[in-house]
Amino acid sequence: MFEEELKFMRKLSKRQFAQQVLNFLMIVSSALIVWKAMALYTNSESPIVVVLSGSMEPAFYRGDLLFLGMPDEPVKIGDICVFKIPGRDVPIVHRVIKVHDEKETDKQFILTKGDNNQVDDRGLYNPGQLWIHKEHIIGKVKGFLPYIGIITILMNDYPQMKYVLIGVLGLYVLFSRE
Amino acid sequence: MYTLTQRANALFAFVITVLFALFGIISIVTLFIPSSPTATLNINDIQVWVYEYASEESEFAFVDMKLEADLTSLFNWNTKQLFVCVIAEYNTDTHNQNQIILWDKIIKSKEDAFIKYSDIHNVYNFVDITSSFGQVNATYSLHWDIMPHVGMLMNGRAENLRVERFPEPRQPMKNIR
Repeated sequence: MFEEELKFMRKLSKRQFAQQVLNFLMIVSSALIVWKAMALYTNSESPIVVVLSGSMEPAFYRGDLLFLGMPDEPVKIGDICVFKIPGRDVPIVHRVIKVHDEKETDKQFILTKGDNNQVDDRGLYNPGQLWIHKEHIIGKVKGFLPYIGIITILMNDYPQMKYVLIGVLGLYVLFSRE
Repeated sequence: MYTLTQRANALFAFVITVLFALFGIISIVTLFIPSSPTATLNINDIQVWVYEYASEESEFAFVDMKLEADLTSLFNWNTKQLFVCVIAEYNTDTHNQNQIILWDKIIKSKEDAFIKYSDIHNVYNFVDITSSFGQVNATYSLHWDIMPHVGMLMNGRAENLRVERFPEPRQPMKNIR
């Protein structure tokens, strides 16, 4: 199987090989451009997220894909928001069940809860933290696509799969004949 | 000649393109499906009691509501579920907007979308961020969030609103020592 590929490699001139590498880099960079353009358009640092937990069932299941946006207007009750607690890596997708807008500072005091959880999120926040604020919020869920993100979950659960997949894809692009 | 991998690749790319075009069309079409939900919310009773909460005296409101709603028209071929909730909104001297979910329900089928309750209570603690409501007026209304199978999340609220003033807080009887 690999003999053929190696023969193909040897047949390639330096110029052709450079062309293949450039092709590969083009694909990677255009994917990055699309991602960053979406981030700019939606004003959210990560415009697409994958649901990693079952705390919003039956609305969202593990592996569902969520499209986020960052509205200019203040957070409203009932919005499903993605937020990050300082010092914690993994963002959380939960519904807003309480909002208080302070008059003096314009600051919003937000409390969230997962639809599938019995209690609100104060236990998930940092110790002593009662509210989250707008700066913790990465985005508001605008659109929904089921199942597609299961690949991400598999790659998270089995990190070796990530390298195998990237390796195979990279080799495929390098050796593909137009 | 095309190799098997080339054919598989072309087929895969085509399927993905068609699938995503279809998702796009579905999510746009869904926005234009008409619906005519109706809802009536009534407040039977509101009481405010003062309890100790995090070592501070705080006002707790207890709302007794009557709710009747026909949300069946919100269910179409792209509706996965409804999140229905009763919301209280009020303004105080220190906070110009306060919104609290008092009661919620997830409806997963059209058959369950006609709801009628004569006596529901707030399931979440109805407390202010300060320790007192200050006897202001609050607006009570029914909201719904529509979750599609694929596409955009939508929401709406019933036109029927109830405005009620928080009553004077009552002190529970203290144990006599």
